[in-house]
Amino acid sequence: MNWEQLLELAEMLAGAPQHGETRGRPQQTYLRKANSAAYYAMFHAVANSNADTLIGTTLAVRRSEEWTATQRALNHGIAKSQMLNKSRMSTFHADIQDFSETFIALQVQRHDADYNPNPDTPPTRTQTMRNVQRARDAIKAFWAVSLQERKRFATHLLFPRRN
Amino acid sequence: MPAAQTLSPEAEQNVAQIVRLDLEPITAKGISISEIRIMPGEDQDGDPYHHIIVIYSGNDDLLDPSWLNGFKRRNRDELAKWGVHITTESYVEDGEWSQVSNGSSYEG
Repeated sequence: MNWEQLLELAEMLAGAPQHGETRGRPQQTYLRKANSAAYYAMFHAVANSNADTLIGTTLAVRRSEEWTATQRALNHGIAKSQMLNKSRMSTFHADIQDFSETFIALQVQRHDADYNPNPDTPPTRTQTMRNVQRARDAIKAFWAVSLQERKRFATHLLFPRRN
Repeated sequence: MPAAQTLSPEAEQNVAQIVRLDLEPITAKGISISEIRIMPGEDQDGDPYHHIIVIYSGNDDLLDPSWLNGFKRRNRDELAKWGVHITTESYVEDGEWSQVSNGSSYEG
């Protein structure tokens, strides 16, 4: 999944007027799906980075079973848990720490957006746009971190240490 | 991790102050914060979290996403002192907030 296209989709949804109108506020469903797409952009960005750093980046490698299996190995709950590991996370580059905190923040809102029929605060347009901007900024900064550091992060996310 | 509960008034006040101080580089440029709300919740894994809602007025463009993304890293230890571990943040323009509050808009 292409994270940039997911963010474009999120922006389209958050900026879309209601059906039949040329202007106006987007409907709740649009905003909810925009928030969901913003989180999934982050999820796929880090999943792709995991596979790229651990398996490889050539076109042929990216079509291999190994790359696909590694890309799909990322688990939402385990990723969150690993990102909350304060002592380990403090050893990573600040941009990876910020990516992780943003990932967790958007994961919470994504779950509310997709499943909670009565959220405490329904998403608004500016809030949703801000989430999309935060996701884009976090992903770009994350991808700018060295391959070796992202590889270390990939092993942290995919291979939790045994107690 | 401790179970999430509504923060005491003192904790809520202190967490809001942490947020205000962290946003000072932005508010100094022209964003005004009218209210900060902290709402407890439980995430999909049963872990407690706090939703920090910053209600503001001013130029949206000043809310630098890069700065916002570093909020937790810069304040993790201070927040933990008040029982705040997992957070999610929302930045809502105050005109929208009043519509959300009275439930008249954003339906459907």
